[in-house]
Amino acid sequence: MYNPTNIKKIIRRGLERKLSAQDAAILKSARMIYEENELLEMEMDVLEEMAAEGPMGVLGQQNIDARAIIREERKQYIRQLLTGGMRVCAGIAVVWLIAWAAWAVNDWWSERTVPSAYEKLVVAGSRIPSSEFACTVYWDNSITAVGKESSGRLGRFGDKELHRRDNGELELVQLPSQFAISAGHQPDIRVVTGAQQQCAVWLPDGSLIRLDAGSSLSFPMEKRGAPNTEISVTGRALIRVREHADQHPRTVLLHTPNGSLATQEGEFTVLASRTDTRVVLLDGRVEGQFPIDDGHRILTNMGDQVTYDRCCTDAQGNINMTLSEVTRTDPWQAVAWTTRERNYRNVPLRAFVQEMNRTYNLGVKSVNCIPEEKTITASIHFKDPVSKIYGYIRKAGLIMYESNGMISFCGPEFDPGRIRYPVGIDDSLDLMDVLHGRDLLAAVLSNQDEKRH
Amino acid sequence: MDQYDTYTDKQLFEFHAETRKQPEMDRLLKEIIRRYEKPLATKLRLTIPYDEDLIGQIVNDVFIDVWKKRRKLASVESPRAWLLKVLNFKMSDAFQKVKGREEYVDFTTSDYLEIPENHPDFDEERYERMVQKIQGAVAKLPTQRRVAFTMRIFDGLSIAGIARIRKLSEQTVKNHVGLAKQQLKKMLGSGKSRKEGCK
Repeated sequence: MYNPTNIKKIIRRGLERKLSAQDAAILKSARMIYEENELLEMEMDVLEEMAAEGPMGVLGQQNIDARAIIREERKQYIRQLLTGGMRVCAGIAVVWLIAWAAWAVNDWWSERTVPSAYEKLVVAGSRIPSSEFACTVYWDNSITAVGKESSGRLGRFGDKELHRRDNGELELVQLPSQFAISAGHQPDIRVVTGAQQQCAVWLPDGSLIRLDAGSSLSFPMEKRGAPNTEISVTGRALIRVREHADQHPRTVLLHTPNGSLATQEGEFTVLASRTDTRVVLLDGRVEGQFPIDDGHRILTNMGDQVTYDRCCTDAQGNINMTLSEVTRTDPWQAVAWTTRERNYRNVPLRAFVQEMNRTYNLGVKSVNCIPEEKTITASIHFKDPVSKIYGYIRKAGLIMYESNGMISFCGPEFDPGRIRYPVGIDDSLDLMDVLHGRDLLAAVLSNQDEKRH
Repeated sequence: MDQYDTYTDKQLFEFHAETRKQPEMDRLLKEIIRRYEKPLATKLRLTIPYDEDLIGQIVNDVFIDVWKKRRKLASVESPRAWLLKVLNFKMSDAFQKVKGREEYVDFTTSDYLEIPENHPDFDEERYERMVQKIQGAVAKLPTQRRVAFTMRIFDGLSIAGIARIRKLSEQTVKNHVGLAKQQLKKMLGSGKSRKEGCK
């Protein structure tokens, strides 16, 4: 029953699909005493016999070419290599994408969650809310007034778009390359704040510029791929530059009317007028370059301050320029202008008037007539009307004279042509440049007295 | 007449694994194809008589596998059985690709050579009687062989498991089972096993 001949016959019947129930029982029990390989070899014997018995159609003759097999195997091998390579590349791409996404999310998250030095310094509740921000944006011939009610996309300036975020901050978005401007000089984008306005602008490189009232930011339509971001600021601003993960870190160059400041990562305030520049560092590192001999300063610690002052022309007609060394100051004072409530306790009246002039655009001609020793104590809310400021100034003992929309603290208007030059002053000089405040007033009064006599 | 005509299947596979000469490898592959193309195609034709393209493709795939694994062919104990196993795998792969086509499903499920108990009229009583007959023959075997065979076949233990229980080496257990099977073949049939791979 279990001899190979019999088993082969059963296998043949199995191959021909004529296996009986009895054959199946024998075959199954034969598996106990025959190895699998032995049964398969018997099956091969049967197949050889069957193949030899009759014509087997197309494959009756040998029609498989060994060379074709080898070629096919090589093709398969190359296909496998290519598929494997593509999978590896796809895997690397996916890993890279995930890493990039993680980095981007982390960056985005830390930008929003890791408080900046300013945010640590001034708690959210004390700040002027960004929803109150307003300003005017100039570009070419267009003027875009941004108010509290503005939202979403506000306009397109060349290859940049201006948006107002939900929190009230502005954002300059770089458009794709097809919007790039190819030729010709393009005007700068200028963001200007008026009286009692403040504004925050996110630049395309991720830097944040917060402008105080009466300030302006000028952002050039730089060429793509420019190594640095160059901006100009006048007035007062808080600047935050985050470090970039680029291979070549970008430097933000901030120009003021008197010098320039450079940083790759830093947070600082700048007060820049026609005659002076004051920088106070909150975080990171800032390098300043001012138009004076040995005019390079590096600020590295929180509270580091440097002041450049271009004041007055002396008797010989020289412009006096001074640049302080790096000194320490209270950083909170440098950002007090961003708070809802500003408290001034025994501050110099001149400084107070200057600040109110910037915030409320009072039109003050000069503060030189205000006695230097006078101080003031006041508390100003960012929404206070200008009349309250006038009240404080009057209360401090100052008399204001208004003429042509400008305010003077130097008494009534006079005709400079009627003033006699004091003894020792060369009459080729402009008297306004030589005399200030009370001296000038004294000169005028003495001139009037002389005429009366 | 080709010199490889005289080679056994085992020698053919071994030589194919060892040689590094391209012309020789080509000729060896050609010889393997010559020997087995027809039997393999015959099996396929009995399974799927209506799809010559698929038959050609599967046979091709078998020989591509032979070529691909040529360096490992020396370790193949039974080349003929190995080729049939490869054929079964390739067939299964091809059927997977055309899965759902009724005619293929029908032919593959009616192949009772693989699993005889799937036969619709499988005679369980007869099978039991045959098993008893084998058990009767096993009882006449020497103790070591009987125990090893019973544990391996009737109890379904692995060689390693038997070796551990019997405190023998695995090779010894294998030998006992092998010898038991040889002896049973003689006792239950004429018992003459075919010479491996001889042409």
